[in-house]
Amino acid sequence: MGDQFLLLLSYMLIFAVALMFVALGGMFSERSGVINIGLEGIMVVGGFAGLLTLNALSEAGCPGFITVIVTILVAILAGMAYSLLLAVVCIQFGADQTLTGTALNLLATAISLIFTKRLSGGVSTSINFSHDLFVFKIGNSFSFNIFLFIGIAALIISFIVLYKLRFGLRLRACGENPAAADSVGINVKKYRYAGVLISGALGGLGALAYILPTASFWNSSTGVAGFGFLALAIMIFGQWKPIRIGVISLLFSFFLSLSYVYSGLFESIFGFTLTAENGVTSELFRMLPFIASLILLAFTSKKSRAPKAEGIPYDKSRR
Amino acid sequence: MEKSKFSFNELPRRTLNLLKSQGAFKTYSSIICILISLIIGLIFLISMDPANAFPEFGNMITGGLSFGGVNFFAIMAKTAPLLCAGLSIVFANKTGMFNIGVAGQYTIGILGSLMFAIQFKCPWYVCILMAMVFGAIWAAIPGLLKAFCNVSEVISGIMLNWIALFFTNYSFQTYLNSCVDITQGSKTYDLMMVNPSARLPDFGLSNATGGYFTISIFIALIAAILVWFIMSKTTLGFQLKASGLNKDATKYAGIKEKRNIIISMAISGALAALGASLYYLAGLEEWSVQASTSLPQVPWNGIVVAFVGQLSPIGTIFASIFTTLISHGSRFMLQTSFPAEIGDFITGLIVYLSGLTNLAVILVNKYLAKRKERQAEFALVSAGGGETSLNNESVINNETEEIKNEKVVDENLNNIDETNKENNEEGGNN
Repeated sequence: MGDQFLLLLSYMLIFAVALMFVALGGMFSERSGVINIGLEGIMVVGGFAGLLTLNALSEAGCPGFITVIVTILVAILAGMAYSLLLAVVCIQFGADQTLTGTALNLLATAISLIFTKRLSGGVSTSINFSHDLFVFKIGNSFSFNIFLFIGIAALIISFIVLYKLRFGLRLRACGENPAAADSVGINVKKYRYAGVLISGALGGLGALAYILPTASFWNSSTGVAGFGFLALAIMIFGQWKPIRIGVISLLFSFFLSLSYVYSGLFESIFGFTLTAENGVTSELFRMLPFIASLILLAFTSKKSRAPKAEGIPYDKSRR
Repeated sequence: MEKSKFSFNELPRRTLNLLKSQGAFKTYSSIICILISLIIGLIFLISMDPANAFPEFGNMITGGLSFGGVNFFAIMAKTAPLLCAGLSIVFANKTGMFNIGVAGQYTIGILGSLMFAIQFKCPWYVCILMAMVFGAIWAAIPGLLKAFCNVSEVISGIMLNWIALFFTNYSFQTYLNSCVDITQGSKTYDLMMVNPSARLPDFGLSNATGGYFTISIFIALIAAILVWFIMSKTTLGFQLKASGLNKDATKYAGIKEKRNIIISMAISGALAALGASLYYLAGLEEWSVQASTSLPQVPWNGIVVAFVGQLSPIGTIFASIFTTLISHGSRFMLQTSFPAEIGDFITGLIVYLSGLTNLAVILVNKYLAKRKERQAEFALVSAGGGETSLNNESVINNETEEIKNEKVVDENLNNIDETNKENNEEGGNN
């Protein structure tokens, strides 16, 4: 029984950290006034680039420490580069943010599939990798990974940046009332670029935090299985506030982890197995966070604290 | 020897007007988008395998038609669901909604059509109808949330997409598990084996066309014409369009805008689900419970074709044929060098660029307006600087020009203030 709980806990930590990274990324982007639907695609690209780097470096026999750092950096940079695609057309040219985000998602899946197929000669769509450098095992069932520490640091830094630094104040101003921000000499475009790039960086990091610890292969046709969208739900649930996002990520990851370990956990507590005949499958648990956020949205949307200018391209001449 | 020269301006006046209309500009921008995407795709191919790039590219954009007539019917069969998904986006968009929940409505449509086809052994028209009811209900949820709780339809649509996927899988794992053939890798049963009456009618042409020909494409085309008819010829269509253009004005005019939002979403969802049933009842594929860890691709491509078709039902028909041509053709490329996903890559690029087409239209309009303004100004200056108000932009742009009359300057400042106020009010309403 204890083993099952430890397993649940380690799954929870993995998912919570990964979701939190991406949700924080979404928060930065939306706080600056750009809706980032493309987080899912950014995750796919960032994670894919990270995995390729990891494989290349471990083949070259690089020391473990350097491998870890370079892999993470490459994932972050890839995420940022990909998010730049969104930033340029949405901020510079005022394109529709939702549509562009959707396009990024479509493109990311296609690109990662093309390259994985190319790498395997057109046969397989998955990449194998070894995650020993990132994951530390304690005992039989509990494990934690390096992203846990990065995640806690990221949460604290996000809070400080958003509420204690001048940068954060200006970023929030650009999301709430860009015209007012502009009138006191803040470069709205610059801050929106910063917001989107931060979301790209955190998206790439989150993708690694999700892909690396959970398995030893990654199937590019699955991508990140809706994690980017789940992170958006967390961001809304957390009302665009970093600490709340951290807490809600734990809650959501609890449901998500249950979908993996529910049968063993239930068996060890109550003594009988849940199967599809009882009407319980893992899909049920995966549905729950989405349903919960939908219900919450219905009740709280009238007093939602969403950034007021999100989704509206800033046009200086209309000030 | 006399040679007749072609001159653009000598075309008949009506043709000229047509070529210079807003709709024509939209068409040009779509075509430019497609061309740029194809060129980028070609560069992509050349960078992968230069020797085979050109012939394989040819295979892709002809949709593999050189590999036999069966492909023609395959493309028609795959166009039908895509067209319906595109129409779904178009319809919702006319009411000012971005129905990103189309993937969920499509998935629920799969559940509805397969449930009634395999579990209840209903004939095809019942399956289609029930799928459409399922889709309409599913899409009405974001509509209701938007109308009464002010929830953005994009956010609720995304949530409902994933709920639909997990719910469909959950259904086939539990109470519908008799629909699933465990021996065939837990896919749903082949319709021809368990309930041939649920398969769309093919007039006995199935074998001659490789199993691809059904009446699906005709149903989809009728749907497109119906959407066009509702939008442009009926009171309902007028009301929907009006509330998409200005919510408050329609409310003032006595149109029930909340009801309109829900109706528009429900119809949009029904169209998406119709697409799903046209795909699965034509027997093109079976739903695989194990492999379905992400949402189906067809409805996402529906977003592509809707925007490439410039959000018009007729444009969507051509866009969906073209998109299917590419995605079908990409399977005929040398798979070791060029994976079939290059088709998806190109369609993704098209929709990414189509975000910019409006920009092109705006830029052209701005240029034309500026030119007109400059001409007017020129006339004004030559007439001796009458007291006409120049607008905001021209003042900023013409800093070099000295305006002698102080009165004019004062008036201009007042004008700027007024336009600012108006803009702020507009922004507040949005």
